[in-house]
Amino acid sequence: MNTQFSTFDAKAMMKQLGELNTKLIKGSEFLSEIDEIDVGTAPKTLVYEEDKLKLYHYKPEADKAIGVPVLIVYALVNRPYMLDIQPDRSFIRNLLKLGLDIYIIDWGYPAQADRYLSMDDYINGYLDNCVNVIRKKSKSDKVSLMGVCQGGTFSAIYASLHPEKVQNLVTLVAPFDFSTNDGLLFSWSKTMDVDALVDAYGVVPGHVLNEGFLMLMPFNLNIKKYVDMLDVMEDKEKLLNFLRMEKWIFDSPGQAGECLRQFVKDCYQGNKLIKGKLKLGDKTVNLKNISMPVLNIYASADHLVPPAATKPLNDLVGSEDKTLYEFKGGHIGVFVGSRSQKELAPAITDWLIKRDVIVDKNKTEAAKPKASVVTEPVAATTTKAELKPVLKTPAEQQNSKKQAKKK
Amino acid sequence: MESTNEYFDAWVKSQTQAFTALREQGERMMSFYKAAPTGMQNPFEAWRDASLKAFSASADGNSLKDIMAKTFGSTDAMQQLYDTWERMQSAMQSQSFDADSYKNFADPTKIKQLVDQLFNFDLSSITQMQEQAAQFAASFQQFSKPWAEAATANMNMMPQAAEGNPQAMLKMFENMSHAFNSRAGQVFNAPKVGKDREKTELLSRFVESLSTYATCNIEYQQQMYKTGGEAMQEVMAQLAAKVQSGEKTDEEAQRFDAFFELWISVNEQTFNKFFQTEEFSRLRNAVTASGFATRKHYFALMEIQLADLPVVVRSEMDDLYKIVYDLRKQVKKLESQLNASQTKESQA
Repeated sequence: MNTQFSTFDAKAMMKQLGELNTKLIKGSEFLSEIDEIDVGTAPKTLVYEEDKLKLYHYKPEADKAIGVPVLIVYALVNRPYMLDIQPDRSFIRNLLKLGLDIYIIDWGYPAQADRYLSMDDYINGYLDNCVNVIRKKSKSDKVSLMGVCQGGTFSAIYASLHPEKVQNLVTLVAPFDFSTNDGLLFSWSKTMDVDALVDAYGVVPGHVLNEGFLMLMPFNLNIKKYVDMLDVMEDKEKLLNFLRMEKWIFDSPGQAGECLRQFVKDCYQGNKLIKGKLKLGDKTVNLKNISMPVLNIYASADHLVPPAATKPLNDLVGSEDKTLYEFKGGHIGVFVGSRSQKELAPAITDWLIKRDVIVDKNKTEAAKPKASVVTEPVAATTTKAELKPVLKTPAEQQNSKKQAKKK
Repeated sequence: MESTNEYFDAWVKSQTQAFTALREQGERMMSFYKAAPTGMQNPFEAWRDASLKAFSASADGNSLKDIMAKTFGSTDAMQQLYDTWERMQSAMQSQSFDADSYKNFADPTKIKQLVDQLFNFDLSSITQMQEQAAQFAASFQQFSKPWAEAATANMNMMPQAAEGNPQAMLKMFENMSHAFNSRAGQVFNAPKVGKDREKTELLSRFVESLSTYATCNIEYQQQMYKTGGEAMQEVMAQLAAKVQSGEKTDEEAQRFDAFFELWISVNEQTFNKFFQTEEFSRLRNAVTASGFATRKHYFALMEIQLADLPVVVRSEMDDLYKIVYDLRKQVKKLESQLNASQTKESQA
């Protein structure tokens, strides 16, 4: 809030009130012109449906830079259009412009009938079916997974159970080590009686979880944000940005009870994922089975998924090619911040291009990669600054191998 | 405000409707300003009240007033803060402000209102549930009065509790305990026979969890009020330190928005510190777990009430959902096996 009610000077006060009134009137005009709050506008086609799930394929915006399609796996707790919140702040549009072939899962809104869906159903059922559909449609044996937040955890679990289907694993602000108490969400979840929650609701309503998220910064999220909104009301674009973000924040699907129960108990409370004790159906998850290249991205100021929960993945996977990328910002900034658009999307694309292998099931030999897979071990603590030197051309790799043999 | 989600829905609707009408109301609003010069002493309140009055005078006054009241819901918190700042502003300017004078400026009732609004505290809902419990139990015992009295007494004691008064806290526990023992306790000990036995046992569990919830919730709220009070005291201390050291305080003293920023920052830090304690986790978990248990028992009780009616109840639907879930899983598995065998055949 800039000027309202800021002094006791009657004349100035009247002027400020008048200015505020002007803002409100302009805001009123803008609001009356808004038919709907448009989000997720990048063109896409529905390619697969199963129960509430929908799998979309984005329309390419450039020549393909890589042959292996990328499947974005979003969290269950929010809607995936955060990645395409508005045309000029769209993480997905940026990736498309850089030549990625992108699919995305929309998990939908679970109804009470979905209360028994488990992590096994989501990962070995829905996610696996989507991967198979993409493999068939794209004629590629493998798919690169790009998991976001909880979707990153699911992607890592999937990659460890089905490594033969995953070309590359990219995780963004995803939790793996739940032992940390760095974020309030992690400390609260450890004492949470999730049985009581799930037994009471079946499908836990989105607003119940949202109350918890708002408690993380109650004064900023419940008061200051709305007071600040008064300042931007006269600017149509800023007002629309505000409304889009608000729409996303409160557009929270309910959570299938059994899946939530296991996620909280086995991950947040039991930390079974990194202990190698997490079971999905009759299968035990072993992160060492992840042998494909891994790009693990964390946000340095993430208050939802702290770096301490994200970074350990690189020490736990079996991959030799693994990269840790630090994004300077918060959890949401990874997708909508200007730095995200300028730096992160190109960095991810660059990383994928250098690890792309076009494998056509209809051909006996793999197509020639545009750049080779890095086969040398990469330090688990590689940061963005170190990222570029890590990426090597095939010739550079051959030289490195020869030198290593000589030594 | 039942939930933030509902609040936002209402908020978007109210923004759209209210601001469309705002232009037409402009002149009328200004006339109210002119007619009420005393309102200028608190411009935020004057602005809000003038808006509400202006809309009330229109043909659809009541609904518009309601919409505007919802619209200003979040900014009401600002008004509470503004009142506090207004009272200490002159003291700061005259350099007579110090941390000990905190209580002269920070009204515990206003802090309570702020915290209530921020965290959706609503003791009346507990009272309502207690009354419902009493209605269910009316056929067994007449015990609604002590519960209602205890809840009312506790609500009245909240401002003292918010100041951290331990005696008020103890008295609130005592009230709840007395109400529980004198009435609900008797029901627990009543002989349970015949077809009402299940209902009686369920009622006992419901009342027990409700009692636990009410008690935990009071303790939880008291801690939140106390934290709110501590945060305000910290704001005052920071300002007082500036005044006493002769540091320039023009910003906080003369600009409400500067004070507002300081207040938000200190509150966020103070509450975050409290949220990180084991005490908070314990309290929060106790409140939510007992709340969830109460909800579960309440619905089970409702199902018993509906048992003789020709309607499908939640537990029956859940059984059905489980059957559908298992069947769907089996069908998918069989489909997958069939596809695999067809693929093998075609390859052969």
